[in-house]
Amino acid sequence: MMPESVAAGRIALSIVVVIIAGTIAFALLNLKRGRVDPAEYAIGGRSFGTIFLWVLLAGEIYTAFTFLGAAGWIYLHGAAAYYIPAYGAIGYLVGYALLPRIRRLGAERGLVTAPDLLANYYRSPRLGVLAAILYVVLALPYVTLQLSGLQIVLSSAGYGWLNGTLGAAVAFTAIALFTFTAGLRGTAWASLVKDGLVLAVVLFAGVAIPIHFFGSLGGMFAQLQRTNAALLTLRSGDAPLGQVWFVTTVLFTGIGFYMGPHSIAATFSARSDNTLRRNAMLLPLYSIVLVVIFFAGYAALLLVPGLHGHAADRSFLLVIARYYPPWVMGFVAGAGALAALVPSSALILASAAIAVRNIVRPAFPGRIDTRHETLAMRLAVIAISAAALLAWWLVPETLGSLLLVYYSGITQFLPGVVGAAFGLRLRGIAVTLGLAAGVVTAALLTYVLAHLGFNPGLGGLIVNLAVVGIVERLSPKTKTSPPMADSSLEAPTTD
Amino acid sequence: MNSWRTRALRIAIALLPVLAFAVGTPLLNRVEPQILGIPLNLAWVILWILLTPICLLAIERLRRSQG
Repeated sequence: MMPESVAAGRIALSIVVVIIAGTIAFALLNLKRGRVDPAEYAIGGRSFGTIFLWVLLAGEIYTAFTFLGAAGWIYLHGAAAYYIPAYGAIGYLVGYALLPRIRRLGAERGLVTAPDLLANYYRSPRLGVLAAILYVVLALPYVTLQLSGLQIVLSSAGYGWLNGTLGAAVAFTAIALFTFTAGLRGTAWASLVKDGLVLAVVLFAGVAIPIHFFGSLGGMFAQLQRTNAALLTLRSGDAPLGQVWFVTTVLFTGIGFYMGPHSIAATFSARSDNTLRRNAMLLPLYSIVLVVIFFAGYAALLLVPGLHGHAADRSFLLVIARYYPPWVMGFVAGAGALAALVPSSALILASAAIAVRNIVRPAFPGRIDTRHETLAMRLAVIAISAAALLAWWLVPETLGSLLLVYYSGITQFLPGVVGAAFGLRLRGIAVTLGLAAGVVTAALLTYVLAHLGFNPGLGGLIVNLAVVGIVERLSPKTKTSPPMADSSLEAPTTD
Repeated sequence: MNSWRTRALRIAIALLPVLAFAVGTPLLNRVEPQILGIPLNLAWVILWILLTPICLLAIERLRRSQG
């Protein structure tokens, strides 16, 4: 252990701690005082305007994975990483059409969680329970992904002096306690700080670094063409991460962009349909942030060459550590830590609300009334955070591939959610079986037949839709009443 | 009576960025000619990031004019 690195680590980590603590304090100071009902705790009392939704609907999706993983993808796979802004833009288009309809259903029927939407619209408590279990199980890898990001950021800021694993566990515990106290409104305030800081750091990294070392972006790409020309284009045809993979992944991930439990919760938190539509128009600009991160990734490839696998996720932080003073590392790592912690907070909160409303409450009917529901959600926040931490210790994985598993899973909710948003008269049993078949297929394709050359989740979705179609066809037409008559839209069907 | 046409137009405009990103990017899979020093495929992605809000604005205008 060199004394210099200890000093550098102390400076950088102090800045990280101040940034995390400052963000939490800022968010807590902005909270409303008084009694918090479940809708206020989980979805901000359906009161959020354009700015909060902007940070919740983009900032919570672009996470530490974006920060480190996008640069790491550029470093390892080059042009394949362009799928990230591409699917985002498609996600915003889908969101424009879908989210206002989901919000309206939520407000009219008093829905708080994504499984609430499915269970209520399809009048199927069983679908609600299946959806809830799937959401909570799928959300866990996404949270552990953030923990891995956090570990990388903290160990880089510690210059080898700090055990990143322990640091990540401590920071994560702090954010779990914050989520316990603050609910979605606090998360939105924290997200605001996080996005501001991330934007500043990304602009520095992606614009200043290439100009500093290569004179201009053109100079950087000219050098890349000499040393890493193959990375600047996609591999052809159905090669791994090739053109076919690109098309299928962009389309699939794009349509699944808003299927995450925290995105549906954010949708329910919107004040009005127009807030969501206005947001859809502003959100694509967030993707510029990603392009700037790509520049940083390419710069890292030239400045710290020779990294493989996991190590590439550190590439951009290595550039900072090698060429910049510790205080710069402090701000970069602080932004990275927030990018891991704040989306974790939103995701854990959404999972906790789901666990309480759609798993525990149906299991013990009449035992949890509205007064106790907020408390139950708070306790679930702690339980899920602890579970995520344990899972992270037991099953470590690479950043990018975990995200693809998450996406291939949550996108299987698409038929049910789209059906509800557009008033399709599908049967609960068809949606339930389709969802189950889709998730099983996607998991099999991902884990058993790895490296297909096309997106495994898309295979799952095709099976999912086929099952929905077949069950609809086979079940008798007259047996059940249509899930939604137009008149039922006016009257809320739950509490 | 005009509403289905407006709706079709809105869907057509929405499909532009989808096709540009998902199909256009892998087809324009080359570095040259560079635009402002940026490889062509990446410049294409940047262009459509900027055009997507404009497409959405057009769709929103059509929706409002429809009432």
